[in-house]
Amino acid sequence: MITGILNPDEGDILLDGKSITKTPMDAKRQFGYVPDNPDMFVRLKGIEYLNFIADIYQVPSEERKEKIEQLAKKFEIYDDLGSTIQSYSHGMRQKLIVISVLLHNPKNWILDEPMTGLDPKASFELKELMREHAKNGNTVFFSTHVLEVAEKLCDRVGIINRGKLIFVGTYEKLKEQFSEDGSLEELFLEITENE
Amino acid sequence: MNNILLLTKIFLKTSIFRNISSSNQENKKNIFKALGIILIGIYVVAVFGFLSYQMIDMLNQMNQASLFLGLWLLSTAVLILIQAIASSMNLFYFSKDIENVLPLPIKPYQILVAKFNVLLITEYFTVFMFTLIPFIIYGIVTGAGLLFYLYSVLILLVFPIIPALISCLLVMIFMSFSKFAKNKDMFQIISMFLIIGFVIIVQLFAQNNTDTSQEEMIHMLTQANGLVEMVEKYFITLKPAVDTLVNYSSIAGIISFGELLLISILLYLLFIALSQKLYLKGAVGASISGKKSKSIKNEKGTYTNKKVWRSYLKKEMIMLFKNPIYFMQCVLPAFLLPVIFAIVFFAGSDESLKEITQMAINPTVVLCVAIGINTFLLSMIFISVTAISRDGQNAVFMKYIPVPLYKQIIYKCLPSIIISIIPIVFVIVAISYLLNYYNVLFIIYSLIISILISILYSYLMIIVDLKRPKLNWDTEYAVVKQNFNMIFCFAFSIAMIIIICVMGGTLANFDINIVALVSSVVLLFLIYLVDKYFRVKSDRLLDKIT
Repeated sequence: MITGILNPDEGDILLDGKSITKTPMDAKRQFGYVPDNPDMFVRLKGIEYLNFIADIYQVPSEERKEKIEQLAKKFEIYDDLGSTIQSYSHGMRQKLIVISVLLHNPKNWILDEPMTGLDPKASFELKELMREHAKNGNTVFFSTHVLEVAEKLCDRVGIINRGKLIFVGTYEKLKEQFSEDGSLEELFLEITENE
Repeated sequence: MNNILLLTKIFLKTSIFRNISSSNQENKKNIFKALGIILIGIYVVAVFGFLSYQMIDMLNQMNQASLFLGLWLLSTAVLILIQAIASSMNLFYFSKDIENVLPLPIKPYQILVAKFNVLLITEYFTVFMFTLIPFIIYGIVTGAGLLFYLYSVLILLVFPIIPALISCLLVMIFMSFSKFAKNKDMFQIISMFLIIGFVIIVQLFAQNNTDTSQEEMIHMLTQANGLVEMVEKYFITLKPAVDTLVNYSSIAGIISFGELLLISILLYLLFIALSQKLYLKGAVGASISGKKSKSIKNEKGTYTNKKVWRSYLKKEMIMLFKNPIYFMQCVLPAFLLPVIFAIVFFAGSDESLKEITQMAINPTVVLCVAIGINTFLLSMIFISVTAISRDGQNAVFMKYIPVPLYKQIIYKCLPSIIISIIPIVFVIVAISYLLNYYNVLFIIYSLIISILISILYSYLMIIVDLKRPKLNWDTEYAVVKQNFNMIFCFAFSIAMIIIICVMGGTLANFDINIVALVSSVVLLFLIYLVDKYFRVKSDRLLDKIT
C-alpha cells in the first residue's frame, strides 16, 4: 500500500507529507522500492536497466554516471553491466535492483527481503548502506525472515503473524513487554506461539 | 507405458490444463464474462461455418465437393507444420520441466513420447477448432451418413501426427547445433526463420512439380471429384485421408483409413528412433546462455539521459525483440504471412492477375481490400494483448514507479502500432504492384486508415489484457499459447472486416475521398473515446495487477 501497488480501503498514507492516493507521482518519488523477486526485465543488459530506471526518475547524466560507477564497483558487478541480466546469478540480480533503487537518492527505502541471495560481502555492504542511510536521518523500511539481521539493524521492529501486526516498537520495548531476556528469535517464537 | 502416461499428464498440467482450470474458476465467479466468451466463440464458428458453406456449395455444384476436403486438410497440414515449429521449440527446449525430469529414472524415449503427446494434444485444439465445423457442414451439404462423422473424428486424430512429426524433427535437427551458437536467443530466432523458409520452399517445389497442364485440368474438371487428385499430391497422407472420407460407406474407406494409420504409425516409430539422441543432446541447456562477463564500453552515450517515453519504449522493444518466444509468437506471424502470400503469388502463374488488371479498378473497393487485408494481419500481432501479461509478476512495476499509469498504458500500446506499420506498408505496396495500380490517393488513404485501425486495435487489446491479465506463468510460452484473450484479437478483426466488406459493397460508387474522410473521422472519434477512458479509468484498470 505504501508503494501504491494496493489501494487502501480507507485512510491515506503520507510519504514525507506526500499522499500516495492524492498525489501518487510526488509520493512515488519519495521512496525506492526493492521487490522480493529480482528477476526484472532479464533481457535487458545491466546498464540498460540502470539507465532505464535513471530515466524514469530523471537522474541527470553526470550524477547517474557517478552513482552507477560507485555503487556497481562497491557491489562488484561493474564488469558485468554490459551483459544481459539473464546471465546474472540471483545475487547479482539482487545487487542490480538495489543499485537501481539508490540511483535517485530516495530518502525512504522500502526493501522486501533484500538480503536473499546476496553473498556475505554484498550482504555486509548493503547492511552498512542501510545503517548509514538511517543514521543520516532517513528511513529504511524492510522485511526479513532472518531475525539476527533485524535485531542488529533495526531501531524499531514490527512482528507480523498470519497477516496481523502483533507488535511494533523497539527491541528494548519488546523485551520489556514480554519480560524475556532472550534473543529476538526466542522472543519471536514466544510471541507467535502465544498468539 | 505408465511412465509415459504419467509424464504426459504432468507436462500437460504444467502447460495447458492448469491454466484452463484457473480460468474456469474465474468464469464461475463471473457468468457475464463466460457468456461473452461463448458469444465470441459462436461468432467465430458462425463466420467459419458461413465461409466453408459457400465454398462447399460452390464446389458441390461443380461436382467437385471432395476437393474441399482435400484443400481443407492441406491447409490444416500447413497450419500444423508452421504452428508446430514454434510450439515444439517451446515445448521441447524452453520449458524448464525437462531439467526436473532428467534426474528421475525415466528413459529418454519416454520423455520424448510424453512431450510429443503434449504437442499433439495442443495441436488437436487448433485442428478441431479449424476443421470441425467445416467438416460437419460438408457432411450436411453432401448428405453424408453417420459413419462419415465418425471417420472425420478418427481422421482428425490421426492426420495431424505426421505434420507435427516433421516440424519436430526439423526443430530438433536445428537445435542440436545450438550449443555451437554464441548468442542462443539469436540462434533460435534465426533457426525458426530457416525452418519456416525450408517448409515454404518445399511446398513451392511440390507445387511446381505438380503443375497441371490445361488439358489435364479440363479432364479432371469433367470427372466427378477429379480435382482432388491434383491437390492430393502435396502431402503424403492427404490421399488416404480424403479417400477415407469420400468412400466412408464402403470397404474402400476402411482400407484407406488403414493405410493412413499404418503410414502414421511407421513414421511415428521412425521419429522416436531417430530423435532420441538428437533431442537430449540439444535439450539440456538450450535455454541457458553461457555466462560471460561483459563490461560496459565507456562511450559518450552510455550515461546520457533520455525522455521517459523514449526510455520506456526502448525497454518494451528490447523485451519483445530479444526474447525469442515473444518475438516468434507476438511479432513474427504478422510478418510471415504477407511474405508467404507474396512468395506463393509470385511463384504461381500470374495469368489471373493480368486479367484482373485489365478490369476497371474501383478505387473505393481497392481501398477496402487493402484495409481488410491489413486488419486481418493485425489480428496476428499479439503485442498489445500480451503487453501486461508478458511482464508476469513484474507487472506491478508499473504501479510503484513515478510515471502516470495513463502514460504507461500508452507507451505499452506503441510497440504494436509501430511494428504494424511494416506489414501495412508491405501489403499496400504489394497490392499496388500486383494490380499495377499506382494511385497516390489510394496509397495515402489506405496507409492512414490502416494505421488508425492499428491504433484502435492496440488500445482495445491492451484493455483486454488489463482486464484479464495472465501474470502467473512458469514459461513465457504460456503467455501467448495458453492465453484465451487471443480470441478477442480475432473477434476484433472479424468485426472490422465485416464492416469493411459492407462498406466496400455499399459505398463502391462513392468518391474515394469521401469514404476515406468519413472512415478516418469515425476511427479518430473511437480512438478519442478509448483514450478518454484510459485517462479517466487508468487507476481502476490496473486493479487486477497486484
